[in-house]
Amino acid sequence: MVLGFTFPSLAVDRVTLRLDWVLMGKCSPFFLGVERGYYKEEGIELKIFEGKGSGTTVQLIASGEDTFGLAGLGNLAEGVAKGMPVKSVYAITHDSGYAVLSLEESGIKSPKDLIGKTVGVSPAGASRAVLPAFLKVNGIEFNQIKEVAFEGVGRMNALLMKKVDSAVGPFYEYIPILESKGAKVNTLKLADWGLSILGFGIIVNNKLIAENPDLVKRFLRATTRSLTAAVANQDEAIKAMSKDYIKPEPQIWAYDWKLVIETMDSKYMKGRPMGWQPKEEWDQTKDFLARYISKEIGQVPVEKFYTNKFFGQ
Amino acid sequence: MMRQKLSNLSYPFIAILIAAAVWQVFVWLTRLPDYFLPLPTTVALEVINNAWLLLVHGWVTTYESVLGFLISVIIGFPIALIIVWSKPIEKSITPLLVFTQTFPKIAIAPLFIIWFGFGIFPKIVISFLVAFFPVVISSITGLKAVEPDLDDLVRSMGASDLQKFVKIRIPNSLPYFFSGAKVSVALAVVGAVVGEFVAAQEGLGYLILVANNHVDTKLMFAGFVGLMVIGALLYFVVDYLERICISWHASMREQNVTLITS
Repeated sequence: MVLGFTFPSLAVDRVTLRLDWVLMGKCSPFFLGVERGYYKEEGIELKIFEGKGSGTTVQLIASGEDTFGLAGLGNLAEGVAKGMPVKSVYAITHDSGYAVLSLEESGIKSPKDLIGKTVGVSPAGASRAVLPAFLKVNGIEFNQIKEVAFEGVGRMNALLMKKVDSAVGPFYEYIPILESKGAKVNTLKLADWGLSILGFGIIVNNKLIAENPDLVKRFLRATTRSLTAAVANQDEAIKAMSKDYIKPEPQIWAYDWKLVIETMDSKYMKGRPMGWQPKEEWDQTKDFLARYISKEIGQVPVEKFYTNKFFGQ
Repeated sequence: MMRQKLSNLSYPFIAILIAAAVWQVFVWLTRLPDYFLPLPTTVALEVINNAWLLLVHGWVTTYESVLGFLISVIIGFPIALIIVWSKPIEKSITPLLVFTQTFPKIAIAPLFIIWFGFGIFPKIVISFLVAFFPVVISSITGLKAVEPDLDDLVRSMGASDLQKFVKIRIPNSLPYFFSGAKVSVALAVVGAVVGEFVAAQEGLGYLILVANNHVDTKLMFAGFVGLMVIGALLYFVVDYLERICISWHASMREQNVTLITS
């Protein structure tokens, strides 16, 4: 099932956007953009496809399977370090949104409250990597908490059923779903403790940058219009996304998108166009990833991860 | 005959109703929330509310499973023939066959997306990998299980190896083959669903994945019901084909259909 299909017209670029996962609130701008014709006006016929994790999306862009990808920039950095010919050209969120979430009853209001508690993480993913960092920054030893691994949404279920005291994940994904099940949630945002790494953005294959930079520029221009419109017209964006989907969840998505918007700005973005990737944030991200995910990332010059050349004019 | 068939069907119906009643009472008593374990009545309602969705996506999973199963048979039975025909081939291929079975397909799943994309092909491949082993093994057993007396008899009548193979071994293997096919068709559904978890934009496995993402457990259960129905239907189709193809076999003379024949 193809989402976001527009009617073909003469001399258009047919491109695909591979999302990082199944549809969530953060994807709504693209659907709004297609519906309002922003991509069409740039001569682009856009097909949007769901993904199977940021890591897989990075690989699909590297292999040339899709034109553009929406992926976690941490995953992009890992891909570049492994030699994949990919780059980030646009940052949508400037914070990964990672947080330690817990039910109100657990009484976990500050990092120190985690001592002696169980924390759910995903077995292979950024949430597992951010936990030691978070603990360290707060002077907590890793053995003072108990880490439990749950794949994907299992963590949410475990949290709801109180099988685990807390869980690590992006707050904008967790809070809407947890609250929709009647839970009240305590959130400890990692960004509040200085653990801020870039969130997600648009990635492309280096070949596309070299061979068709104009297409990238046009796509990003339409994307900026779409994001701006989706911020100003959140309900319309969610409606556009809900059409033709197997099982739309407009309420959860609307809340999710509202929370994502909070992560779209940062102190380094003053006076910068939407999508700009501040070097400071990339340095921070690289530093964090090198320390907690893979030393190889530390050896890559930061300029290899991203480019801001499509901004300006 | 018809009367007996109907009364035979009532047995499983009653069993299912009893199981559902126990489940219903259990959830009522423990007051479990519906995102943990939904009531059977909640699931039934969800199935009715999403009937069209379940049918459309159920159809996708069905044809993926059927294709995976058919390919298992088309490749599996000839492999069994070759193995029984030639001892050197048997010795070389059998360990490889075992490897394909013990290999955890879900581990290679992310690579499947990179290699084969999100279309129907990866589902059929996984469905085939999961389903073909029972067909091969049961066919081999069947091809080898010729009664020694019968073997002696036709040899004494001057039958060549090829004639023996075609006229005795192959027909003799059919009951065993069908037994393996019944296991295989159920596994083909499992394989198609695993394939859909890995890379899909449609199908019941995909629906279950999306529902899971929103912690919509009752919709997941509705999906499970759909999968069970598909599995059962395909099983009974194979069972029916068996009855047509080998009506001469002793096991078919029994009035009641046994679900486990080996």
